[in-house]
Amino acid sequence: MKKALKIILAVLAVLVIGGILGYSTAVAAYESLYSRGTVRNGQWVTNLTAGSSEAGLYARATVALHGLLALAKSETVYYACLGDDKGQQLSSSCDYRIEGKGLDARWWSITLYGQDDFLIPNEQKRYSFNTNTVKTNADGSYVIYLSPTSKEGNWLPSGAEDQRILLTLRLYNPGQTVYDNPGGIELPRITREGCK
Amino acid sequence: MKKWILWTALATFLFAVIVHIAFVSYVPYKAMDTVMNVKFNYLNRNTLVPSPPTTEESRNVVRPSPDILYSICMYDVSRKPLLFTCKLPDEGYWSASFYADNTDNFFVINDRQAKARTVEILLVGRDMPAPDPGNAIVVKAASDKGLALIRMIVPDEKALPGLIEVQRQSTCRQVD
Repeated sequence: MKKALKIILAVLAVLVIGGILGYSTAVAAYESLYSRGTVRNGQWVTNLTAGSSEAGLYARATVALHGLLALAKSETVYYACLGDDKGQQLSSSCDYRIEGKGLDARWWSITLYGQDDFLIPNEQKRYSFNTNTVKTNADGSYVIYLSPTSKEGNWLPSGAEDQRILLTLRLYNPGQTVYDNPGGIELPRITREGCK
Repeated sequence: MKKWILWTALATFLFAVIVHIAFVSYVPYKAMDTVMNVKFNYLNRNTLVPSPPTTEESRNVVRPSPDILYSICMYDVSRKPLLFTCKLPDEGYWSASFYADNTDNFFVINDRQAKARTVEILLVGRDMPAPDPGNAIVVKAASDKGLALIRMIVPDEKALPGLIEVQRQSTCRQVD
């Protein structure tokens, strides 16, 4: 009787503890890959295997949860930015300055998402800036103001809800420099200017 | 007593490894299954459906691009091949991409690679002999069920009506 009880307890321990351990380490592993990427470029991270059949187990899981139906790198390279120049998590209640200039791609866009990975509701129905819509200076550079309150120029509204936010940079048909040096090409810089 | 604890710890570790690998492997299939059978369950299979312009209300697939006009087709080529007839815009980025049930983008073609303003793509099942493709590009599906996406970049609001018209002219249908 005592032996049978011992076996039942052991099996229960294996199933419960092993199950929790397996599940939590799995989630931690792919979420860690998501926030770190496989290549870091300043505040941006990317995973060049996203969407392709070269993707490993964890990359596939990351793409499935945070970038489902991503194109393979031969078509588009995606960068994500979750933090500002000080490494702090981007927040919808803060003002940011996104400074950049032309990128080596046929077409690019910077899109803002909420913590649920969907577009943030706003009266302007403005969710991104791209090659065509961003207003540039004479030298081709631009500044995008990411803020919950109205700004002159390229204003990207971060909405009324206080939440974590993130940016996605899409490079469609990128040039060879992007593939050769994804961690070294010049990407837009995100600077925090203040918070509510 | 100590031996009993050792074996339990070892079994727990092995079970944790199995659960870990099984769960990570399962996530992509589950995500695609949710999109195809829950989020888009109102769409007919093997039909190319033009989506409206992307807004904050577009909440079927994470991180939609507001600069892209999408058409979507949930394919099932287990019985018959599927012929996509795609009309391309006169200018600007266009692509047709195909996704397996594990999220892999196993084929993509863009407007620069297309040889004409109308492109035909014949999607065939994994174990299916390809019929005479005619002028179509033959693509072997990486899984019999999956999803196809056609993307067109919307450069600005003025271009939208024309692109919607182009979007409506693309179709897909089963062929024998």
